[in-house]
Amino acid sequence: MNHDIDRLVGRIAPVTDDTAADLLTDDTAADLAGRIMLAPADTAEPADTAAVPAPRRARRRLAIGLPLLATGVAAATVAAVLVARPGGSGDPGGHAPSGGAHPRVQLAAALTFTRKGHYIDVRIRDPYADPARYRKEFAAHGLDVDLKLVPSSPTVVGTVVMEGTSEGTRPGDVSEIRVKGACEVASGGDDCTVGVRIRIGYTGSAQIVFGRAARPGEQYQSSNRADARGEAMHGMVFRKRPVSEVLAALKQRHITVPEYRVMVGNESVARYPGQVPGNWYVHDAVLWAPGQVVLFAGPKPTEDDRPASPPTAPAPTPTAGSGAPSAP
Amino acid sequence: MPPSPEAPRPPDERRHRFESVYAAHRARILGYALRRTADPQDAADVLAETFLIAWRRLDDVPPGDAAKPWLYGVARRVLANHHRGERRRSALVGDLAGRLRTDLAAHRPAAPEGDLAAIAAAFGELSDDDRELLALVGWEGLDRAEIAAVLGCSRNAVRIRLHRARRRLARALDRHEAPVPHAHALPAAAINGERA
Repeated sequence: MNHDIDRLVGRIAPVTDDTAADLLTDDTAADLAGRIMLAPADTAEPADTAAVPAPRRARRRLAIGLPLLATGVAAATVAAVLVARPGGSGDPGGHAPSGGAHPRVQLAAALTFTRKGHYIDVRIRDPYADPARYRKEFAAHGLDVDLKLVPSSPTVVGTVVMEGTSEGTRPGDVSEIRVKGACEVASGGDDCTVGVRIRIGYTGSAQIVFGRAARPGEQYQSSNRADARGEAMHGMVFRKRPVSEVLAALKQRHITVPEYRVMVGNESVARYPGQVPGNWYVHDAVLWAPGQVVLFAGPKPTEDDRPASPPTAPAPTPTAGSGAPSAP
Repeated sequence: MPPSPEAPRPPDERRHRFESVYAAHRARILGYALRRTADPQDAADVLAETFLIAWRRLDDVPPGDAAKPWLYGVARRVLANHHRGERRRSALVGDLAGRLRTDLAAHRPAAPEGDLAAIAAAFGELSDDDRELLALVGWEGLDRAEIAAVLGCSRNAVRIRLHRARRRLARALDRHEAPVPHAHALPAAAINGERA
């Protein structure tokens, strides 16, 4: 019996797997696979395994290879979405020296470089420093590292939002410092990157983007879910709720809504306060800037995503919107 | 036998494994994404990010058929991020998005008409959760155990939720007086043996 209703659903599938297979030609697919496999992965030589005391951490690789950065896509482009401020040791403001066993080689003004065996662990001390200064400090350690900090929602502050390394970078040259269990990662899992560990003597180049706190009014370039723990709308029920009700709840938290996104046909378009009826429904919300969120709204409780004209994800986002911050 | 996560794979073996997982599933993951977003760029991103995660976490990818629901689960989270506005334009995508855009224009059917429009309208009234559940069955062809793996819940929960979702769709079809196609002629609400 159920097969019949399932078959009805099947009949309205907008695209079949066969069509998808036609669209993804062998050449295109091979190109993509090639680029994916450029991304460093767990490939440590077996000999390393016994020698390295903590092989799993030491072999952890960066999220993305160079191609990502080389093309100059939006600065917030990431593969791993790192979403929550890790507690304890990950906090760049409260970084605690880990004792006499790992003497800090240099206490730099903008960065901390902590020597650990054959590696240097790098964390941010001054998130508003001029990127040129970071570069100088890395250079002082013989490292070619381009570090940027982008304004981020609170739980992303202090985490790495994008990393890339030059071709020829070997496994173990640059790795993430992760704290497990401290946060919620949008792509799954619960460990967050809080810094990078670079092999002493690494001669390649690396580019790293960390999240920093946004100044008042400054748009986020990287954000967590609006209702993630520690973010502006944590604990709020807003999906499928009337706009007026959500606005009232936001007001209590002193959060304003400078813009909305509504679907017009297939397109997500901007609307401004006063242009969205209070009896419309909120579909989703995105963190926009300190004390500001953008609401996705429509006349129905949920976005009508009938297959033939399904909604796209909202077009303008804090990272793509207004052009300014995202294009390097 | 599942690989031990502690055992590093030689690079070649790793590549081969990835390539075989990719070859077996790339079309359906792209299909999954295309069925849930109108934007080919988003679909291309979802494909690229899903397999990037698979590559990075290859030791976590279950062997054999179990890779399929694992990949759908990853794709689902990646897509959810896109819908939340956390768009991450993946440069891995290269010109895939552009090609998809052009090619899809030729492939994508016009808005459904007649019977299909009514079915689509009824389907569109369901909650996101109901639609996704029904789509995982009707579009992705997954069974309960696989859906449980995708959604991270128990099979029993899937069974119950699926039952309810089907019933709600049947009622919605009734409301829309969706003329159920002749080939499977049956009153929608009779599917579950009841009238709404």
